Amino acid sequence: MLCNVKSKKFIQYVMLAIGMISLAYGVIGIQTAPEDAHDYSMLLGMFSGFGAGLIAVAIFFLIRSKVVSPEKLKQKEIEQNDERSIAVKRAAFSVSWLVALLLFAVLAFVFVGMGMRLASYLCIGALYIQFISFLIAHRICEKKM
Amino acid sequence: MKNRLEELRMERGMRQEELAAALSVSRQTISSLENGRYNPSITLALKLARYFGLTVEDIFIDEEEAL
Repeated sequence: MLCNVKSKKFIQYVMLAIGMISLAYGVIGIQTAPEDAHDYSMLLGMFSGFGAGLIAVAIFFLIRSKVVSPEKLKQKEIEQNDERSIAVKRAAFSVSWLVALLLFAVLAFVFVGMGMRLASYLCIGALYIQFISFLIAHRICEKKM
Repeated sequence: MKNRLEELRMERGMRQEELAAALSVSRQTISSLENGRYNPSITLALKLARYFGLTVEDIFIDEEEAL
């Protein structure tokens, strides 16, 4: 369990570092980007937003691990590792995977209808990647079990 | 799958929280098991059997087999 707590803390510090790098890249990039490069500025804005979000989440979890009592943290860990919770999460993931697959397919049709070919190709590409990743994961899990 | 979990817990005068803490699972898991909404893994079934000093078959009843 101690090992689990340590690895979680390590992940939180990694999240914090990635968040800081992403935020710094976004903020510095926006200040140095040419004024007419709107798309590039938007991308940099996304980087800074993503970075700020990661920092906020990492700080929240780091503070929580310091402030919340060890008993409550242990209870939280039991709830997270609880076999029913894991089964519930797996069932929810299966449904959301299917929803995402259908969403990509529907969006591909919608974008073609709107004359946005590139967006449509991206959706079809994402659909294939999602399906191929399922097949790869299935193969790996089949070998393991 | 039916089970005698609630009956066994009541016999020992335990609350769901206490049983959950003893088995390192959540209270919701115990509640779901008692209501028959969730079937446990073999590991948890064995843990329960060991905890009550019974066999898995003493706690869990296969309804199809019972017919």
